[in-house]
Amino acid sequence: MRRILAKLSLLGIVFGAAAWAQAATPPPDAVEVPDLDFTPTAAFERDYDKYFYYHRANTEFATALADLRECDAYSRGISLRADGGPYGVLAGAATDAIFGAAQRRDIARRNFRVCMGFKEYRRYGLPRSIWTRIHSPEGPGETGEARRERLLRVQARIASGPQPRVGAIVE
Amino acid sequence: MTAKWLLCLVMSALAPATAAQSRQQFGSGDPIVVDPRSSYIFYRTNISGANIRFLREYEPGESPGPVKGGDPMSERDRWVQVRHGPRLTGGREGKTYLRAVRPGSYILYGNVAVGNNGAHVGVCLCMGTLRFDAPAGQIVDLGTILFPDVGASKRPWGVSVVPFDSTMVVPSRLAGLPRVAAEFRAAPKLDNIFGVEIDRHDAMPGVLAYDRDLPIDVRTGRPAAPAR
Repeated sequence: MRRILAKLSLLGIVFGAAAWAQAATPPPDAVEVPDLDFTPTAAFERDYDKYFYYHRANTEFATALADLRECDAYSRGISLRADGGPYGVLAGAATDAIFGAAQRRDIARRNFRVCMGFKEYRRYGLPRSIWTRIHSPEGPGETGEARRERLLRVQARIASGPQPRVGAIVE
Repeated sequence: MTAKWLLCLVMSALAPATAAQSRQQFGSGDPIVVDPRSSYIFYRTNISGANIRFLREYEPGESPGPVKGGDPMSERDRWVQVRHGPRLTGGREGKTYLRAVRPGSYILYGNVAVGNNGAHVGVCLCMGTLRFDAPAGQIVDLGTILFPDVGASKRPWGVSVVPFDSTMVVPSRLAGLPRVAAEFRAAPKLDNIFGVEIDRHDAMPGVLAYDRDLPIDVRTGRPAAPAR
């Protein structure tokens, strides 16, 4: 990703270009979303910080999709690498595999949340069972990138959909 | 492992400043002579190890520099890294930094540093920040760049600028040298080129505001002009 961005910067189109917004926008009706209705319990609410989705009132599907793509772009290619200090390359690889990967995921999630927060989307908690349907794994023959785009479309449909009835998270 | 502990681990591995960088970044014992062909960025900070990165905007008609090996930092004439050391002053005159730069318009990119393992760490002000002119033959005084308390749980940890005012200490070594207070303008969103945490500069009266996530130039009432 960084290599692509670097090449784009050669063309002078990286900054302010909002390349993420230029991808095709599918018709919202073509995007299936799971039923988000559930009855809140204390157990569900304890996990809201892990399992949630975004919603903003009066937002079009195309706007939500562009916003989600932008925030996704801010969350990719996290650079942090934990190393082994004076203990060498192998220690560094082990440290990075254990701690670095977790830190990168954490930063990516945080960037996404910061970005969506600035865009004034609100978060709504879910039971894990529904969340996993929104974030379903790759289908047969589906690439990682295709899955990513599919999930963003699902999230955009939800973010621009009906006002959630339950699960509002107080920030 | 806490985020704070890991940050300390990475920061401790930061590569030492090169000789060339040291000559551009003034230490407590370096003579200060203002070259009329150069400009100088000066600021105070509230912590000891402050890494700050600036982006120089291309001048009209200027060609983008070469990008070697896919590393955006290879555009050496575009990115300016002020490292945690050397500092211009410490002690009673406060923690201050002075860095020679090519004259031009600069954008405060954030508190970003690179470790000797090549990884970048820190927080970019990618979702809204400030730009200013660094004129030739002048020291441009940014005021104070405040770092957040990383011990606090509140994140993100982006820096913020308090523009120069007459209550701020000016180091005695800058007395008699041409120095101007920075005139800040709104800068737009920037991509997270270095893969770090993201934040935005706080709104600044008369300078920077936000329409949701869109940085607004208060002087014009319009979105901040794209970066050049």
